Amino acid sequence: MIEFLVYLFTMAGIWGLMSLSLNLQYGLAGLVNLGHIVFFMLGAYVSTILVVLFDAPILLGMLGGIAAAALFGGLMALPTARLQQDYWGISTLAIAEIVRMIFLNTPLGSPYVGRAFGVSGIPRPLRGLFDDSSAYNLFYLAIVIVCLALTYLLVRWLAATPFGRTLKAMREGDAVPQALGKPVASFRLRAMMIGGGIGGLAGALFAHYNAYIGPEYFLPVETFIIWAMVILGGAGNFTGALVGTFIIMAIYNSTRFIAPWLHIDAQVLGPLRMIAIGVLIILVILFVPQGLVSERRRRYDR
Amino acid sequence: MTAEPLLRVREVSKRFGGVVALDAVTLDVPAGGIYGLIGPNGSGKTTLINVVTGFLRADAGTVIFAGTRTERLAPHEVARLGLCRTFQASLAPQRMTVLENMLLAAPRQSGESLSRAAFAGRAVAAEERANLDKARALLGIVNLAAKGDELAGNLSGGQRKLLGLAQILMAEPRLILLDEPMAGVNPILMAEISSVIRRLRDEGRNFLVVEHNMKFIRETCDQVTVLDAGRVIAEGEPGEVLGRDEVLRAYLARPKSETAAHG
Repeated sequence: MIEFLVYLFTMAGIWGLMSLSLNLQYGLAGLVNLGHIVFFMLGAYVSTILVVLFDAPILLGMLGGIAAAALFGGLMALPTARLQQDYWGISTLAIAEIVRMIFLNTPLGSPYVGRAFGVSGIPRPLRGLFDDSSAYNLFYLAIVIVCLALTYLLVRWLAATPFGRTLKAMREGDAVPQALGKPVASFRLRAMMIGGGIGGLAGALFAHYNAYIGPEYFLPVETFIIWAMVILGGAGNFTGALVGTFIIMAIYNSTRFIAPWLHIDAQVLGPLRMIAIGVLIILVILFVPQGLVSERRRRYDR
Repeated sequence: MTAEPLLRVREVSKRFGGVVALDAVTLDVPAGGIYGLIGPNGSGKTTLINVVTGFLRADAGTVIFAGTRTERLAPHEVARLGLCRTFQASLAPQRMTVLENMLLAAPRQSGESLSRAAFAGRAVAAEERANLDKARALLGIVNLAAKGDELAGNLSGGQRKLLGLAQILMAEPRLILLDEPMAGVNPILMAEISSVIRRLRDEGRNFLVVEHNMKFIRETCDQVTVLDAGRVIAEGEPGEVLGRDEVLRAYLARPKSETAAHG
């Protein structure tokens, strides 16, 4: 049970980074990014490639993954100048799938590494210092929690700066910020790069935790799950995004305990939990549209 | 001659498909006054505002603001030169508070640069405090002082107009473009907005106002240009211009003399 909880919290922490990142882009800046998983994918693959193929130190690999995802976020921001929000949203979905197709079709070093086989045997940082794998997992959980806490502070701070205030204005349209002299393209570029970098960190942490990655981990449905976390928790509120993450992760992982009671076939279980999450989202949108933890007003007077 | 006009519009044309929205419009807005721009619906007023502020690109013609050619600039670049606008519908972000809206409008904020925000935190915080004081003072002028922490979306339509005005003042523009400030505003608030605009004019602010309300044009504007079907059909003192036949024909579709002849 303890093993399971450590696993659950580690995964929730990694996905928490994803939902903080989406909340920065969507909750704050109003960017409807439907390909958010691409940052996670790039962070995971680039770190893995650097470490496994080029023998880079793990820390360097992770930084490389973060940088690649941040740059890719900047690249994704470029068409926003020309495309309307909804069209841009659809294009992000396509972009993420294109990147996944590239990894699905590219061998990495040998014919049986990369492509649909994925990459296995990804080294885990400082594994040699621990004899016991459960002690190591606890250590890795600590790393994830430190990353999550620092990121949480970073995004909270960002939201409170004049930079964050302009992003917040942009989610209700470009016209007013533009008329007030804000170069909206530059703000969006920076929001996409920071969000991309955070997503890359999550992906790199996942790759070196799971020790295996493959294209099947980065399907469009994963983006949907991150959206579910943010909408459930409360778009615009970073604490809410984390609450939403934890609830969705708990539902996602607890179905395995419920299954034996209900005598459900394992094959039915996967789709069933997606249905459960889907129904939950519908209920949230109908009855608590601001999410469980709604956005807090910034107060200057009292 | 007097000083160089603040805004010069020269032979500006704009068409949307087959529709000619602006047909070689030429206009000079001098410094030191309230300049009115009127015309029936569809006469091209908002298109002209959009061209002047960089939201639309003209097909031909030049726009010169305070000596700088602006017809190829992006909206935020025009705004940074000191030419700021409001919108017909109040677009102030509704999910931000009144004070957040005001702080948003402050010009040249160093905290918009992430490196400055991170490494010059103290300077940014001092700037924020100064902007907050200024924002509160401006909210006082438009009678919104008590609403600072209210979400803009919770304000009434009239209060939103006032917020839009205060927000634009916060940006410290050299020329303020107001797009129908009186639309959907009750008479009492209308008088209030007019008096705020006049007071600011007397303090040396410059306005270009698009408006349908003739009372406002007559009482508040120093000069007025009339657009009809994308062309300038009259300009001059409001009292005189509003009595001209072609202006009445454009607005009411019949000239005074004709009415007299039939009557």
